[in-house]
Amino acid sequence: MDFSILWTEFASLLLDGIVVGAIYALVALGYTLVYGVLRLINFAHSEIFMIGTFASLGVTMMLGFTGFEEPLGILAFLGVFLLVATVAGVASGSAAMLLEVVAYRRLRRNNANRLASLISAIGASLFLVEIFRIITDSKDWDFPRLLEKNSLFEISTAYFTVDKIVVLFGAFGLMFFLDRIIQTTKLGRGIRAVSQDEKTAILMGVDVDRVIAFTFLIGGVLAGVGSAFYMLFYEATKFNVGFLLGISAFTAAVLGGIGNIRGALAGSFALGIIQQFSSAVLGYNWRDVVTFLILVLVLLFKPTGLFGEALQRARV
Amino acid sequence: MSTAKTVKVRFNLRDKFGDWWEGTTRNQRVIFRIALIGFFFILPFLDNPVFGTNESDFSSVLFYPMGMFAIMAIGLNIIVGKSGILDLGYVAFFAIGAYTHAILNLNFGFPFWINVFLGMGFAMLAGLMLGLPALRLRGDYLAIITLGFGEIVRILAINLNFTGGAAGLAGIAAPPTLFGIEFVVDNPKPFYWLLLTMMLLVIWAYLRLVARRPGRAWEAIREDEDVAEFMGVATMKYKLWGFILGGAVGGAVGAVYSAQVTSIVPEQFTLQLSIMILACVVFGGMGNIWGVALGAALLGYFPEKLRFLSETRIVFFGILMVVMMNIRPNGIIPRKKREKVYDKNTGKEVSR
Amino acid sequence: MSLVKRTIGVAASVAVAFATFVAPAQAAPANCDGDMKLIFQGGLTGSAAQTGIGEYNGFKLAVLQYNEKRGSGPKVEPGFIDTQADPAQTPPLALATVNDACVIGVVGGMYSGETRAALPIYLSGGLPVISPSATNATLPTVGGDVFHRVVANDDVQGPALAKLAGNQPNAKVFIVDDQSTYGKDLAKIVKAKLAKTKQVGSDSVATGTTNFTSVVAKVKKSGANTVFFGGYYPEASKFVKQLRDNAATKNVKFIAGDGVLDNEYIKLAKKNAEGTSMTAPYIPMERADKKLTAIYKKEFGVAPAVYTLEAYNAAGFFLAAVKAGNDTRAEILTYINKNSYKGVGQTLKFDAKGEPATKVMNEFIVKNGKIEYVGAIK
Repeated sequence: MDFSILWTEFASLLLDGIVVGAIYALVALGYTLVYGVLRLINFAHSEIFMIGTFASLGVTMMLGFTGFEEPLGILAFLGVFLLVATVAGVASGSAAMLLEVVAYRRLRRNNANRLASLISAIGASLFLVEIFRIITDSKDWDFPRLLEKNSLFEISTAYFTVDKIVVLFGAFGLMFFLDRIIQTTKLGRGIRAVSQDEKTAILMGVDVDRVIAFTFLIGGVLAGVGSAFYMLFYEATKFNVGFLLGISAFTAAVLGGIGNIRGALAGSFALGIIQQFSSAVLGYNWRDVVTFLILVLVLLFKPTGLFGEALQRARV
Repeated sequence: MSTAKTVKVRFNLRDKFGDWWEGTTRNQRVIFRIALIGFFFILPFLDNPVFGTNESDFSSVLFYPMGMFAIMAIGLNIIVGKSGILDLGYVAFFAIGAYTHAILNLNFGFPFWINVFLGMGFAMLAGLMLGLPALRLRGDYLAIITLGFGEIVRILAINLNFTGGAAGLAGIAAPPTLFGIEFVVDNPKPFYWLLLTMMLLVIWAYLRLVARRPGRAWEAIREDEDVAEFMGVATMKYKLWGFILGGAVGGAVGAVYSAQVTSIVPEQFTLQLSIMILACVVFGGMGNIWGVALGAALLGYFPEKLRFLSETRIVFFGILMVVMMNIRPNGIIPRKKREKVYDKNTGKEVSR
Repeated sequence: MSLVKRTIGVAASVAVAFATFVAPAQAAPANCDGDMKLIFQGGLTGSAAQTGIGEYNGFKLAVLQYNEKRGSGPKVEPGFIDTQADPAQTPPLALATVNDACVIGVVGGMYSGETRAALPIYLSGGLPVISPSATNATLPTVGGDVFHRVVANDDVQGPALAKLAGNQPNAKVFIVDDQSTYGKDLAKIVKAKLAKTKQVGSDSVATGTTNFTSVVAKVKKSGANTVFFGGYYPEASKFVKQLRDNAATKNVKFIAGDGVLDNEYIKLAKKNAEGTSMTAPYIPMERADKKLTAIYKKEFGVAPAVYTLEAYNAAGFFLAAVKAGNDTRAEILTYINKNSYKGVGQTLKFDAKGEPATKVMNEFIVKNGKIEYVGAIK
């Protein structure tokens, strides 16, 4: 138990926690949006993320990167990375929409109970993991280093390397973008309406099927772009990468208040920071115990999470 | 509407069976029950290429995963199916039972039968400790807490010394010879019969409880907790009991499991197992123990049966789950949808 | 329906059910009526499949080569049981294997948990077992006479690693394990054998971890100049990358055991793998036998993986026993217990407990993107 590390390494742990939290946030938003409109825990969302990582990898492979060449200059990097993120976003978004149609739509139409959808989600998750395991030969796959991870500036012990800055900028940009969509567009209003009260929304003329498809799409795109950031940061993926990350992102969403966008963000950053600090102080192996205890404490005092459950009050 | 309304007409195995069952006499029911129980007892001897599992030993598969899943699904059914509490950490009870027998036997020489009860006891204690704070939460928040609990038990097992750490524990004793039948590691049949006996006991106890106040309380809580509270049902108390009893089942079979495999590692008690048991409950038909047991047996059976597909068997398994849920979202044998219907004017029960 | 009709109906259905079940039931053959079988036990699907497939390929190659060159000798069928490295799935498979009279030996399991679940069953059937990679210290006790393993258990590798770490100039060692049986035991022995004054800290990460930044922060704070990692190459490659990316820790010496000794490690970590030191009780296939490596690559389309060599040699030992005229489990067991086998890159000889008797430990280093052999550790 080494509390002194909090003093000496505070800034760097905080920065790393925020960066990890940003990636969690992009995935957690998918969980929370779907939960908001469907009251469903989309267990297969972690595989949507995983698909994004392989889509990112696919782009670099098609562009001919082997991983052993020198990193690119800043402009070339931005061009390549933009392409990677776009393809990953499209891949994950489409996968998410397809998932909704195949696994959930029928159950939703028949008003089946939530647990049936949950099991369908689990079946879909198993299917996707295994398909990708077979496609990728069960191996770990590496992602080329596109940009030299130079430190641009430092605050105390925190090194603001380029990749971290890209991740932070990109993630915050996306969250802002999401907020604009939710607040201003028609479909965004539809999402808020359906998550508040589905029946009234139908009465008000909202095309629920379209709204739900759109929700899955947004969640998928966010996870896809998040996966591009993940690849930039960690440079490796495997067919089961979704599982651990999905659990963390889902925990983050619940911590913040499942169904609440602002909550998902707050929860993600909080979780990222809690994880960093607790692993530094107690050791990585106690990280999840601490996370769980903190979650219990938070829920004891705020039973619907830090920000509660209301989607429509969400604002970044 | 003054007369009985007809319920939707859908093929429902349970209702067909229910119709037949009500037409039988008492003696016929006894014979049926004995025949059914007898069938399950001789099942290990009925291995054959068509229905048995070819690449894995059939009686071993009957013990684990089929039998284990079935009895754990019955236990989880009390929590999820009857009381409507979404529990994603059921494996924790199983792990507690298994480790109790392992630790007490290896370190203190406690015999198997004591450890089964102690395993049950510790699992119930864990259920109480978890339930008191957690059951105040609703729905999915409760789910994540139970998920966290399941993971915590596993992480503690990896990190603490007396649980053997990542290497687990080995050399756990099997149950002592009973009625001349030996419990050895290369013969799963006695273990299977033991499990079957335990399942019968659990089912018997369960049916007793369900027919009385606890059962009705659980149903009320599941249908609408607020209304139940309002009508005077002590929801917290019954939810806690449901949780504890479900956990007790898990703890008891955990001890049996560790006695059969004689060595356990933390990686056997994963979140995936909790999810699998939950899938059994939903797959089979929540709230209905026959469906749940059947669903569990099938979900344990299919991955083994499909081994000839080698690489792709989990793929098919995933597809199976999605398809099943979409076709029969209420499970193979759904909850009893028949309700007693009374004629509005005369107050007498009307048959459909 | 009348009572008579109903009873007849029930009886008829029961009879049909019995007929379906009982009639085609085959009696388990007491003797083998076909070729001898050698079975590989490991995870060919599931999260550890990468390692399992690597071992299985090595095993299969050995058997295929034997069959090609056997002449008039008996044919050996290679088979496998896919446990997904999961101890829960293992007992039914192990029982089916033991009950199959044609099976004369098992190469496996891959990891300690599944091996330990299977050993009591194999022991009761007198089935000899050689595990390429299961490292847990309790396995010889559980497996009794039938258990053997190729990988040197931690009593040999741990002290060698401790020595390697301690010999670093002005060594300040930070010890990390991956919570697997293999990694945790190895780290435990390193901690025990390394002088306390040279240890500056430790941590324990979960298998599958990708985010090592908190560990890196701890390494930085401890002022360590050497990091020992007990675990496998996927985690090691991510860990070393994040160490090297951090300005404060980028020059630490990275030391690991044979779980990291794989070309995939270099492929995943790229330039950051440079300078990593590793130990292993064998010589990798590429170095020991280039021709064999070429055949392997041609057959399976990939390079040999970590533990491919051990699986190859384990199978080779069984096949040598068969070649010498043994064809029952008991005979093969005696042969394996008594003799030694000159495999590729290592010689196999087992002591009374089934541990490798040859206590050779080699040191390797990653230089210029390749694994280089440094020498034996004394």
